[in-house]
Amino acid sequence: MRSKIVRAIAAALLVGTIAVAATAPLAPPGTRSQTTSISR
Amino acid sequence: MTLFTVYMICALAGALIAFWRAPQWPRYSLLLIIAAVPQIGNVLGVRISGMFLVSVTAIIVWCLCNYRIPGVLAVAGGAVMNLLVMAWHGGAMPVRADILAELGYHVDVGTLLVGSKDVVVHGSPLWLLSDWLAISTDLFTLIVSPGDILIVGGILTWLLLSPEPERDQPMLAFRVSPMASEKRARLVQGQSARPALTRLALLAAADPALAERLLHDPLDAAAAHPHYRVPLDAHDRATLVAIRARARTVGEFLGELAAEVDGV
Repeated sequence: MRSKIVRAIAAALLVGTIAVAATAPLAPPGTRSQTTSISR
Repeated sequence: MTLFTVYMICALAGALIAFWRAPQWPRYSLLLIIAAVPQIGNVLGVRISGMFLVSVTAIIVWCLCNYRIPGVLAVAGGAVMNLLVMAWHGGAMPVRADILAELGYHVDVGTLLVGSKDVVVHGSPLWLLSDWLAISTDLFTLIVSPGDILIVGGILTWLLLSPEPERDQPMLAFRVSPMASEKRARLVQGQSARPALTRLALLAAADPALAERLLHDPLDAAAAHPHYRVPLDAHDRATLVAIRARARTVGEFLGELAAEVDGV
């Protein structure tokens, strides 16, 4: 059980890091800021 | 930050799959962290042109180091697709203004969208590799690139199809089946009825000088051992005297002693 939890944490870190490093999706609702002029 | 929420959901999904099934672990994962740091800066609005090159190099080297793992080549392909179009646009992922407009967001061309890696463009020669695939549900709207989909497919392939690592087998659990001759051998179980003589026989077998002394004066040699006390009772002493009377050589003495120890 303990090894499964450690394995899951390691996989989460690895998947998250790959996603951050390589993917570039856009989630429009979260892009409001001073440099963004999004309006519905 | 919606984008970091997306990344967290990806990480959580990966954790759930890995909890259920152990994937093959890639090597040199520090390279991924090196690749991720400039991208985090990119999302947070810290854009340093040289750092993008570091990111590209690190992720390509990581993929080359782990290309044998199923799914890594798909991740590499997706990453190259994304990074190629991002390199064309100065390190930012382009998203066309008309695609945002279709979703109801009107943004000026050239705007860097804070909280993402994207820049709004009118058009791009590499638009096919940019963010243009809209995934819209009641809960969220996400615009992804073909490279993103390839990377997700590669990660799923790695988690679901990579061979599970071999489990460590403790050496003590490793059993060797006895040979046929050993199976046929009749072993006498239990301890010898002559523990003092057993000890003396083992000491004599280990020390030829002691065996020589036993042949000449067994009682004195047994009593005067410099390291180990051999408590002989009257029966043991009588046996040693009898062996001494019969034996002419050290070999005969040890053979007789062994026979007495075994009760033969």
